[in-house]
Amino acid sequence: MGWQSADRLGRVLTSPLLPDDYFALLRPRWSARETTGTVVRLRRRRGDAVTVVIQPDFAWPGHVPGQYLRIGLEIDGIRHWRAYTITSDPDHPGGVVSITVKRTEGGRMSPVFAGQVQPGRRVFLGEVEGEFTLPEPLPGKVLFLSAGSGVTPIMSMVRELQRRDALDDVVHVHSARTENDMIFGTMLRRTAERAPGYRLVEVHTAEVPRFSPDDLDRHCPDWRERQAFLSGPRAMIDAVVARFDAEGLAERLHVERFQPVIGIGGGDGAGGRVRFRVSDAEAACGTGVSILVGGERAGVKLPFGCRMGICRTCVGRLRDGAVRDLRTGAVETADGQMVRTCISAPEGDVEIDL
Amino acid sequence: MPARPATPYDPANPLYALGEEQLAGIAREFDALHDEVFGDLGEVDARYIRNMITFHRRLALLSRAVLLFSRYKPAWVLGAAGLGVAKVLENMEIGHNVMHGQWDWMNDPTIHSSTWDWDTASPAAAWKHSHNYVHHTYTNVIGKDNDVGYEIMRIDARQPWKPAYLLQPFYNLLLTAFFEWGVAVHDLDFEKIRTGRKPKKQVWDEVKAIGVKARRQVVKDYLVYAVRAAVQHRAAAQAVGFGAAHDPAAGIPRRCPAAQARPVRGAGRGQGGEAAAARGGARVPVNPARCPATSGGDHRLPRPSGPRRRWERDGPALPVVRVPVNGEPVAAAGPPGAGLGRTAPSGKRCVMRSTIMCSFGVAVRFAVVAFAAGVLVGSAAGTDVPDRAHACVSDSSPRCPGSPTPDVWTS
Repeated sequence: MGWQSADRLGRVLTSPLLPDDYFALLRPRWSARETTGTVVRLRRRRGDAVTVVIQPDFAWPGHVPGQYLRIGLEIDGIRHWRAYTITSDPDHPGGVVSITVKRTEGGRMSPVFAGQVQPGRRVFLGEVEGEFTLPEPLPGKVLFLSAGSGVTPIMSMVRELQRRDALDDVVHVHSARTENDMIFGTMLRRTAERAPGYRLVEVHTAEVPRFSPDDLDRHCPDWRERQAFLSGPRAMIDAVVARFDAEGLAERLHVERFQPVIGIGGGDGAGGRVRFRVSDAEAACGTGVSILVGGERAGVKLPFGCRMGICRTCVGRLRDGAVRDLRTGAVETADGQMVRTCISAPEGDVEIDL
Repeated sequence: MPARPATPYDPANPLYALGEEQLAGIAREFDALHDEVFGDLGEVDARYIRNMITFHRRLALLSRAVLLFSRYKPAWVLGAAGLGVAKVLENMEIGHNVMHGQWDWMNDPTIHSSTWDWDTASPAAAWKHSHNYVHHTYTNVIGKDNDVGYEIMRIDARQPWKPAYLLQPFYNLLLTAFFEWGVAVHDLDFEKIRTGRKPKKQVWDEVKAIGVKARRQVVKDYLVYAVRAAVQHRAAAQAVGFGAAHDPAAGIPRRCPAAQARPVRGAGRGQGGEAAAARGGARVPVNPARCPATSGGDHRLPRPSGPRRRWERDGPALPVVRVPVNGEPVAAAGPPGAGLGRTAPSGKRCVMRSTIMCSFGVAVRFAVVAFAAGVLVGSAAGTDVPDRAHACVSDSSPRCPGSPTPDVWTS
């Protein structure tokens, strides 16, 4: 009797559950239903950040520096998801993986990581995602532009270049509030001291004006010849992208976009485009038009029930973007939340598993 | 007493005297209650449902293990009782509530209405349609809500009387014994099929879905676990389980007639859900409160989107609806003390009710066991059926004299 027949028999015996559900009674991490990990270490960083070292409950499949990982954490019984850049090296000997979280005031998850999470805490791990990585073959001349916690993917790339002995001609312009506020400040300064090919330009915004694309000529005169990697707050990204576009250098710029900042206003929302990932279709929703109605108008066949938020027949997992609850006006930014399409309108562009 | 004529509007129902403003007021109170409960949900609640799920799985495993020794009567009783309790908890406190979306707030994909399937022949999707959508959108609306009498019973004076209802007490007994199968086909909506309001293709798809789920249940419960004399144990467990779960009249307030079919769809928030419930005579408050074995399945609330245990507990602020009738303000619905006002959940009543229902279940169980034993083995009830069946299997003979093949058992 092979493994497959054993599995089939197990399923028959445990239907409608899975054998896994019973294995999990003995030891939760034996369940393969979800990919989980355990926090093993926490290390404080400058700039009100903390590096969280996680031991996955499975063999780490590896990642490319610059990529991010969705991490689920249960806070007050509710599972929240956020994406964080992986700051550990891909081939870490212990098979561990780490993220670096900057505390955001009013944030849901970062204060918990920064203040409450202790070693031993269970976390849920999503997929490794992201295309903000170093191209192959490695670029010869590189310009890194980062600000605040946007330094995390850049730091991963610097380490990758260093590991592969390719830190030949790199200029890194980073903005932080003060000298002491810079996440990975010590590490990057030490690299700058030791590696002649890595030049670090720090912009301390408490003392000098904020970084603007016009400063590029001053910090790095040959920036037009370099492959540029940009990671930071939205305003900075918009400004730099505009400048590169104006100079016709768009293909040289690699950008990491953070989650859009959503205001919570009244009214019926901004509307936006919905991508239905399972149906493989798209729909445009005007102001106050629910995802369900918008989808139906576009000819997408969607599950629905009461159409007033009662029955949850219509729920789908929101993969990207944010939705507004048309009844309350509350906006939910979503990383894997289940939303009721009949009462949710897109707030900007969204993607949903339906 | 002759049935009152079915009218789309019942002027005798004081709830119809409610003005728009009062309805909006009810909606506001419900919203406030909803926000209060949801604002307070947390770690403790999450732990509750996880512990409940773990408890159910352990109990089911343990009971199956005990049943291995069922040739000894105490083990047989203990195992069957344990399996029965596990079944009740799985169906009522876990399955019903999770598939209702009461635990969706945790955002845990493994305890979520969209992924959960329960240990009964009814496919999850079908139940969610007939219950979450039909029953909770058109709560107690006769002709719309098939939970009012499950299409086969008359439990409200407004339902037109048919002679077949004279036999109701008897087939209600039968339904109790075979409740799982009743629930399984419930969403087919025979009335709709009969009147041709449901496309044939859809009916066929639903029948297929039921077939797939039913096959899994039958294979597991009546074939694999019935390698020994499990038919009896299973019947026992089921009878115990559904004896407690089954109560077709629950939640229909005696003094608050169910509404006639009327369009409630399309009504907005406040005018729709809550008002429909009020007009339909929903019994909002609590009767067998805090009793996990009943899942709160007889609370006919339009939007029970939070965990049962929270909207039952200590009922601080269920809206009190007062409608002036002849100048006198009266409680709008339900018998005194159990109307739309606050009700202190009575632990005693819960226990009493469960006991009655469970004893009922046990009585049916013995009837079923006796019947099955009589038919299958051709001997009187109370013989050594389990032992003989056990002996047959341990002899590994495919068929013992006088005992049926497994195929016969499953039919």
